[in-house]
Amino acid sequence: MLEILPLLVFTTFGGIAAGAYVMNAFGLIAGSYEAKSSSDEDGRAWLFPLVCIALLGVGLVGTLMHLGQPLRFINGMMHPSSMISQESYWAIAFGVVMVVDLALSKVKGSSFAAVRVIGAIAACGLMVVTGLAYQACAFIPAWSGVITIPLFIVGDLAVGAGLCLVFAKSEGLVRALHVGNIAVSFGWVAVVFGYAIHLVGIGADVALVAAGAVIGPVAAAVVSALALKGALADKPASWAVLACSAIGVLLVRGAFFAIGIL
Amino acid sequence: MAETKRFGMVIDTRHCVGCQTCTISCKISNEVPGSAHWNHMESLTGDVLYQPTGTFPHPVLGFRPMLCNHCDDPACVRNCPSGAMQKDPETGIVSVDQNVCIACGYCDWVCPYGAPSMDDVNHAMSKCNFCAERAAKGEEPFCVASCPANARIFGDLNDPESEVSKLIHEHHGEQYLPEAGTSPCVFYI
Repeated sequence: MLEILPLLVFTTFGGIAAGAYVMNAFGLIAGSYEAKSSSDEDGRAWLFPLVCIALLGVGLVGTLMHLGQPLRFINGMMHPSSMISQESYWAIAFGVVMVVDLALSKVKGSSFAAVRVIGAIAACGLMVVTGLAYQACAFIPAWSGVITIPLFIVGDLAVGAGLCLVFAKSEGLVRALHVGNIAVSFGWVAVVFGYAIHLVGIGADVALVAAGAVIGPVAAAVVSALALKGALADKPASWAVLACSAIGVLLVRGAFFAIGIL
Repeated sequence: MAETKRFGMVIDTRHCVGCQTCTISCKISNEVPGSAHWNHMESLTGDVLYQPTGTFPHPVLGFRPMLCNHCDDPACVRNCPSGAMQKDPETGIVSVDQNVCIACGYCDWVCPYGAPSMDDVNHAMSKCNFCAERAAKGEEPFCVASCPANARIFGDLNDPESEVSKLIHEHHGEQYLPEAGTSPCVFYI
């Protein structure tokens, strides 16, 4: 089981940061943020990129744990046609944009929408290439289905929505993010269902994936719905959405890696 | 005869008795470290090795010795992030430079034949190299030399007069998993 831990750490922690940037930018584009990021509202615009940098950093530690020769990690960027190299390029690009975002936010006191959107584009690249890297393993049946690509993208968006909710302060923004979370959760359930069908097709066990779907998107959507109805306070509801989403993604990806290579 | 060689192998499954001398010979003679292995055996006829398929009076028991297929378009080379996996244009042999390898294991994941094997002593990927040093001297790989059933034949696929080329032509040698699109250089009869 320890073999899959580094892969789980990288894809989940890096994925949370990527998904959060995309959801954040989506909010900006949709006008929900009123040209502000969530943490702008209390003058701490730098907090969002800082947390995302930390998450990506933890993810990169996971990558190093996976390598038999971690001190040679630079060698892993030497072959542009390799999906692993491309993953590195996108992760670096995403990291650089986040550092720029952090610096500008600290100096200016509020975030630059354009930087957040550029960060979201880099995050999208990272999510897509991560999915493609695993889907390219044509002879690992649990990974080789087309469903692998949305499995990473939508999973990242789901947990990213949870992280954005934790940062949100204004009532309008919280409501918008809860609505967004419900929409993403529906998509995430559909993707997990599709992956479960794929697993059944190859004769693999779907128990962990099913548990991930219930604890993750289903529970997260229920919490968001209750919060929208006023049955749950904003702060506990936001943390609950993040926790449910993260546990759901961990369970589904844990199954993904375990069935694939153990 | 072509100027560059394209080393390949024919494995005659009609002769293979599943003794795994090839596997052991490779492991010992090449001093393959730790738990790494460059040859292994699969069942030709079913899912379980050494378990016949079919029904009496026509049971079938066959073996598929597996090794690196030294593909013309190797998935390991194409997907190696460090460039450690290389195909020698002069011989067609695919090998790994352990001094460059980062041991990410991706080559093993993308290889249709599961050929790369992690060297847990040197913490780098390792794999069959068709006993390149022996091949350069005109000698057979250890697995070929040790096979008691003469089930393995090694030679230059670019030479139409070589034994491997003739066997492939005469007995309609087939590549394993050609749908992977890597154009393997190991043929099975």
